[in-house]
Amino acid sequence: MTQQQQVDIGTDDPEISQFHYGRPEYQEDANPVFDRIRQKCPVARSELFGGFWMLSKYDDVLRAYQEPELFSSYPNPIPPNGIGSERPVIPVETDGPDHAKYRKILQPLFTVARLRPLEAKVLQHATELIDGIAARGECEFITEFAHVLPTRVFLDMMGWPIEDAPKFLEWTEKLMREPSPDPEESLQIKEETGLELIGYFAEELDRREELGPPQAGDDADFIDWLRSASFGGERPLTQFEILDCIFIILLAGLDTVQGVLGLSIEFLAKNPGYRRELIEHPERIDTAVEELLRWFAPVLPGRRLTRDVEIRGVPMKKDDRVMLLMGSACRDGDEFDEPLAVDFERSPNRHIAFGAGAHRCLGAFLARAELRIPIQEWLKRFPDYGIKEGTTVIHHLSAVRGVTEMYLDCR
Amino acid sequence: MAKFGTAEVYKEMGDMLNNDDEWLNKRGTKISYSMVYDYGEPVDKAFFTRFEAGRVTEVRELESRGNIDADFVISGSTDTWRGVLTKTVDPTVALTRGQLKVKGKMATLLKNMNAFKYVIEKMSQIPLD
Repeated sequence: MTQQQQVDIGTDDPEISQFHYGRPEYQEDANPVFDRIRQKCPVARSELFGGFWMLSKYDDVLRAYQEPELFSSYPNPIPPNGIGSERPVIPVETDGPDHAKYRKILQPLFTVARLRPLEAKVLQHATELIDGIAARGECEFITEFAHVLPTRVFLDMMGWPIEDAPKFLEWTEKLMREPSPDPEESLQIKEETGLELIGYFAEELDRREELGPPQAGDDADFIDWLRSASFGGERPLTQFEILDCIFIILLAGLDTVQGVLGLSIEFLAKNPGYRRELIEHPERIDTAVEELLRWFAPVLPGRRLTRDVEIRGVPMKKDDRVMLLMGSACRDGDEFDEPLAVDFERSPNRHIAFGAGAHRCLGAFLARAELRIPIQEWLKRFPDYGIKEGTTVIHHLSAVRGVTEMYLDCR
Repeated sequence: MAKFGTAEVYKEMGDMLNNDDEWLNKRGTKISYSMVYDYGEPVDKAFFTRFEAGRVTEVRELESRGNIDADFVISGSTDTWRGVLTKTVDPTVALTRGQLKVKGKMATLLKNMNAFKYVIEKMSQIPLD
């Protein structure tokens, strides 16, 4: 037996060798299995969906982000699933020079200067939603707040009417969850919903085309910016590329924010000491948000190897799929002191909840605002809130983790 | 057998679709549009087709490309069209990356994308000369 064959990749442990985030037993909490993978076999293998590797250590996950020429982003989910697009999703599933060209177009839309004015909108929406909840003294947090807030912010970002929010809520709910217990029917519903959603975007694009050439430069709104953009100086973006960009900005900014916001509000409900800390020390909100991002690092992206490679003595082949266990990497004791403790003053905190390198989340500034402002406002208005008696918080784990349902007493 | 880069391909497509129950009674019922398929050099031709409730009622080569009156104009290089018809180029990828360009209402095109993909799938079954 060679040394390579002796490396434990979890073959004898069914919980590891049969792991996938879609399995029912991990919907509530996958951290125990993540912790075991990281400690027992940092490079593990699941045999599901044709087999895929799992990287659980901070350094390895960071490497996957920082070496995109080895860890291709296409296809991203394991297994590839339908979110209404059967092509590589732009820009998250593109690599190399193409990815750099898309990124160069999108980056100026996500600068602090451009997004700062949206903070006032986040505050306005948070306040309005909280007012409605306060009047009743209770709520189901996800449908009444965590899903609504980032949807409204997206509409603001696009300059689209807030009255369309209910349509978007319905579409995105179908796209992000399993709308049917039958996987085939679920996929069909998602594809149809994806087309409906993109059809909405396309109508707006058609309307703009009829109005004439796009406004260019810093004053251009989101869509005109994309319409006037040049792909590497070679050509304008096609209408399909523009639609893809809008589509991914909606989905990427919605599920992640909803996930961490729901998990954070649940955490603060169940841990009054931490809640009191933030009420008494509001100046800690920025570091607290970073710690909550580390603690709940919500995404589980996939990669594809572009050549043979060996990681921690484990040989892997070109085209093997690799899942990056972000939730595990952000609890790695080799990177974080006291990794299994939540510390709202943690410093340094080099979490990679937003990814790293070329594919680092473009919307990080906005995501932070969509966590910081609602948490602050929530605690101001409901300092003694809690989980509604007799109810249970329901979670989900997919490519993004979060809370499915959470009833709160809002006092 | 239809000669690539001629109206024969689209006449063959019309015959196939007009004899396809699945298309006429289900997939194509909402398709009532005129479409032009524009080929770059060296073919350098454009072909007009009209669909009425799915049925292909008109196919002809355009004499001139000036002032084309059609709901959709899809244009691409000869190589791209050959790739699409021989299934070596994915038409949705070609549309995304600008290898195939569309003029017309995007919203209409997208809402009927599955029907249009079915047409392309049928066209790729035509033996080419």
